[in-house]
Amino acid sequence: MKDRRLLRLSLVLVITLLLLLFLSFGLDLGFEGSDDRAVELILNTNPDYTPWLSNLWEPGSDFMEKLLFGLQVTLGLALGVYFYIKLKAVQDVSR
Amino acid sequence: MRTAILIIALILLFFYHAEAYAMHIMEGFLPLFWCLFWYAAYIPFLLLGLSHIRKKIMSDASGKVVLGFAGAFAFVLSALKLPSVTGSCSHPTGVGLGAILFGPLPMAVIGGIVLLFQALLLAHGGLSTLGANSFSMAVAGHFISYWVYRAARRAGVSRNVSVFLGAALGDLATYAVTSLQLALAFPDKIGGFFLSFLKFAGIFAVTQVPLAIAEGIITVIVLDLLEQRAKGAVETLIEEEGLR
Repeated sequence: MKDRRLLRLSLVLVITLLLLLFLSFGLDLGFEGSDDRAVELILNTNPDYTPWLSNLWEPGSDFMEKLLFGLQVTLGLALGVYFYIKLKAVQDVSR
Repeated sequence: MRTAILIIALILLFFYHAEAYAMHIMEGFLPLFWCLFWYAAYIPFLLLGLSHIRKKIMSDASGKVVLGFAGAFAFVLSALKLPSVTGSCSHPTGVGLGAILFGPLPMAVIGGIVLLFQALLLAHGGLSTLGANSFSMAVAGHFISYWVYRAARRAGVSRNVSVFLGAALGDLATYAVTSLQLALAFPDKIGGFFLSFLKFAGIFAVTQVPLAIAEGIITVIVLDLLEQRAKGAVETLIEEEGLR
């Protein structure tokens, strides 16, 4: 019982944390992707290095890029909820 | 409980306007030799993972559904780019859940699929670096999660703490291996491999620490939700891995 209460409390904390983190993007705090920093480091230490391949396709705009990442999240959530609901049915049948 | 899940989903979707930052090695940013090397290192795990899924999971209805859920979990978490204390962004990997439930091999396949999707549709990572990125996230991350969870359980640590440690350290290991891959390809001219590794780890692994902790907590909660939903199925899976 105590464990369950602890888990629920953790859940609330995680949601609050996520909420704050997501909101921070809306405030545009100027965070940079860690891959961008890695690329800067590579190019600083190896100025002659030229990437020998570029992505086959890149989203045309920032908006499109955000939309596609949002699509991945939405698709993942939809699949997660589907499998979560289906799990009970499968278990009931196997009993 | 369904309502709680729905609320979480809606919160995530509503506030999902993160900048599109990538965390894996970008397309063309590994020399050809290292691209081939990491593909060669990843492919055996991919084949073993496919064989494991076909032989052990596809014959079990509950196992298939839980594997689908673990894949969806990795899919969502690896798209959540969050700011960290270092001033840069990264994302969780979602590797721990599947590794704890199924062992590391099946998740080598699932992780590869997630990264392929991101490389093709989102220009996140790339095809040339897919082998390296898959090895770090879908192999190293899963194996570390699995081993840490197993060692913690055998040492008598409680299940929730073991899950937390497995998921958090698996996440962290992913980026430690990414740093190692970059350090091997781009050793520092003065300090060599070691200094280069420290520099890349300062970017990737340090950024990842708070996110790894968050991923550990989320994995504990999600595994608990799964168990509440289908106690028998989840227990059987964990038992089969000899990890209860």
